[in-house]
Amino acid sequence: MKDRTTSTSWERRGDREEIARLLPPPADWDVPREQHLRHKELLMHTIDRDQAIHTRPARRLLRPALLAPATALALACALTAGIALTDSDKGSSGTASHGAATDMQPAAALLDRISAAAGEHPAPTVRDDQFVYTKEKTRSADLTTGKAVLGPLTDREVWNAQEPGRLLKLGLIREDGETFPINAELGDTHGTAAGINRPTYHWLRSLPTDPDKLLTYLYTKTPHAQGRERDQAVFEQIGSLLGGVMPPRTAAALYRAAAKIPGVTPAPKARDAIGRQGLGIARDDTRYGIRTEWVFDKKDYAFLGSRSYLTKDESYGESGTLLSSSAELEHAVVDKAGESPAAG
Amino acid sequence: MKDSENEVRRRVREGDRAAFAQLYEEFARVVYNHALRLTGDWSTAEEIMSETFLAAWRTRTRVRDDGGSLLPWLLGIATHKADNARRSRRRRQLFLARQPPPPSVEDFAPQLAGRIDDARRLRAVQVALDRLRRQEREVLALCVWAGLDYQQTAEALGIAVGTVRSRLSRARKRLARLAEENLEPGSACGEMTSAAAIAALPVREELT
Repeated sequence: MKDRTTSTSWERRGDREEIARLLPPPADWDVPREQHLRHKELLMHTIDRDQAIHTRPARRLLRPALLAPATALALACALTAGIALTDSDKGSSGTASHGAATDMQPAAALLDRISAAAGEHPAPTVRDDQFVYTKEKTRSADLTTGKAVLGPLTDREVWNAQEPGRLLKLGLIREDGETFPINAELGDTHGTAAGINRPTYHWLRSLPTDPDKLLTYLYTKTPHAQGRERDQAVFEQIGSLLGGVMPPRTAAALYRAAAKIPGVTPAPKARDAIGRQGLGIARDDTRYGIRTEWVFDKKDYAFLGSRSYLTKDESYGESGTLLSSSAELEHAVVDKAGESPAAG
Repeated sequence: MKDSENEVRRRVREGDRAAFAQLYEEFARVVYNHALRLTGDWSTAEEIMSETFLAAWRTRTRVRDDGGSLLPWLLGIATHKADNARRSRRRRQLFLARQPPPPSVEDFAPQLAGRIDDARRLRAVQVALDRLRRQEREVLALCVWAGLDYQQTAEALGIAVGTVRSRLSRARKRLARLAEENLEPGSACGEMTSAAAIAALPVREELT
């Protein structure tokens, strides 16, 4: 009776135990007390509200960005004011900004030229039931082993739905022959509407075209990320909006707004993922020692691509190590997700 | 035991506020750890934990009358959310470069030391998991680490028990093979078991 295990259950138990032995022990982490309570309150609050009004289901989780809009707005105003005063008074705003206004001038001039060119492109027509198609080449370093290991250059095609309302499937992404749906942003249980996390053509067109107003808006709306310096976050936010099909006036305003972010400089040697050189704009993330560069075409100032690399030695790579890069190859408006522009 | 679990199920299904508070107190930490192991990112894990309970609240009417603990249900939701998070992360090129340092807890010196250790251990877990397919990874995280049995793991993922077994078996073979490949003669692994050593390798490298 001792030997009651059948061979299969023995094997099963063997798999579990063997795996447990092969892997590092799963440490248990505590949820920090404050967060534990905050999420519990959110849950209880949601329950109470749903039961009280009994109509529409719970709204989305409050993002940190929504919790601190006043601070962000104040910061944006402080920065705008700082820029208007040019060099001397910076630092009095008490932010971590390190960019001197004098550094900014050449970049601002270049961005002005780029911006003027962007404004001259004809505006395409994009319907709500269509998709914006982007084809690019990308490569990025994998850091999970503790060392930056640069991956191969891969093709990426993306179809972004233009429907303004909430969507659970935002489009399609095809990479290395594999196609995946793009799911709603984490937290948007009822879908993600057009907005800063899902910039549709029409949403982009609704943005302020005055660079100062746009910048204030972006400082307010850019999600706060732990450990990310604010100016850098907004710079990257603009970067994530570039590329793709863009209303010319918005493109122009975005470029001018970028020029006003402290620390933005010209980067004449910038290249994109496939080695195309052009007019470069860069910003250093001093906290992480990472420089991000954008490259624009010398003739028509079209956005070509970007790259990021280490500017100081880190545990996972030495200065100069490439972390990611991209090159824009094609943009189009198509009727169906998964459809290549030639067919449309 | 089963009776009280079924009682909890009934209360949850009926939208009893106290039952949800209890469910949260009992399982928030387990859900958080599961999400953390699958995503390797503290703030994502926290968001997944929060979202899992909100989703549980919204889908409470789908809970069946009997079936024991509700943990498999919660972990199933969390697994799905972790998969979504991993996918959307692919789109964010710089994500890994910007992993914020380990969790924001009160700044006591001993905890500071603990954080560094936490970061290393979490990375070791990620390295091991990255060598598996998603389906194997999920079964492993539920069945080996979160402590669900085969039936519960099947329930959490909405798959057959036989599928749980075969995925787990594939995961074991793959890990064992990787362990052998990495076990070079003369490498100073000391008393560590073979694949604990693989997982620890990059960490050790970093320390030198």
